[in-house]
Amino acid sequence: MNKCINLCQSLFSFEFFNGCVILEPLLPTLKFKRRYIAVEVLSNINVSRETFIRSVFSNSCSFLGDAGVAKSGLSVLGFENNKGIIRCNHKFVQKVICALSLITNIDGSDAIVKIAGVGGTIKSTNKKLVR
Amino acid sequence: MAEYVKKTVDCIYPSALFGDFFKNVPKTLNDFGYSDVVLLTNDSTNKLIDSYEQLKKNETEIKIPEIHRCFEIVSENPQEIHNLLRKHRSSYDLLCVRSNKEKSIRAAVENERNDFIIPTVFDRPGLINQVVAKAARDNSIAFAFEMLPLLKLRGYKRVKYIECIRLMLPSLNKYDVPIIFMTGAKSQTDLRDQISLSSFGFLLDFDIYSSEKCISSLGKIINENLSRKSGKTVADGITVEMSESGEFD
Repeated sequence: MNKCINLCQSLFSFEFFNGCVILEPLLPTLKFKRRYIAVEVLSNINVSRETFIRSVFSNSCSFLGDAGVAKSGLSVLGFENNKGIIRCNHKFVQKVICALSLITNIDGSDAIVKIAGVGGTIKSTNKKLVR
Repeated sequence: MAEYVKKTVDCIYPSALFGDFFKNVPKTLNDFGYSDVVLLTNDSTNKLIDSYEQLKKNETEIKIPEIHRCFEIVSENPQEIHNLLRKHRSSYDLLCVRSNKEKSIRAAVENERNDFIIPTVFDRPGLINQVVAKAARDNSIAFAFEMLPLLKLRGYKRVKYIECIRLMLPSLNKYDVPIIFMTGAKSQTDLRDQISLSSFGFLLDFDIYSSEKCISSLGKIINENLSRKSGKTVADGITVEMSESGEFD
């Protein structure tokens, strides 16, 4: 019995994992909640995914700052046919929407970013895009 | 008392209705979520507005935003502001004053015929002080803030604009002065939807309910003016009611 205990202790010891500390997973209440923003680009040209991501991040950084964009957890999930979904932290939804609405120019041509809706899941925001 | 129907209203210039960017402007305004649109004009016979109303008659399938005309007074002379307000009160749905001088804002606030003021102040937030806010509350005059400078300006100037509005808000909130958010669009590419306009309120530390209230406060003013024009309201709190036979009670 003592040998088993010693084996277990050695397996899960600090030295066994070569100095790696095992972190416990975060509790669900401590994780930040995500919101998904359905977005439609109104423009005379067909906007590609790369140009859209570049313009979103450049405008957001100039408005919210690098630290603000990092705090908001902003990321573009998908973008096709001038419609897409953007993910962010639930506390920063309105600031991200404000940053998106300040976009006036994408790839040299005039553009308006219209907010179709905000949802808690990708499925619900997809429905708003389809509408 | 007339029932109040909540309206989401945007205030734009007539040049924003026409151009090549949108094919169907009434449909896009409907998609953006506006029930009414206020047009700022200086001209009593505006051909652009008449041609939009022609467009509206042709469209029958979708609900098109209603148009209200607003005469915009841009003047630094207080006497001229009083004269223009007296002259145009009966012929327009709304009246507004746009200014960045202390004398003209004071004159606009003290005149009851005025509906709202657009302060174009970028470096002197002290123009809207407690005296001005109290007079605005007594005469039920609103203050409107535009989103257009946020789109056009960059860097330090944009920061200064937001900072000026933030410094004006405490004196306005203390006396419960109604606040209006508007795009102030001068071209089609300046138009923004209702959700983007309400997010402007979050920049200024408003919550959801107060920012929605700011978008619909112009609608309340329009309803009051329409009921006053129809002859049903004599003064605040006093309404005229007719019986079914058509006689006054």
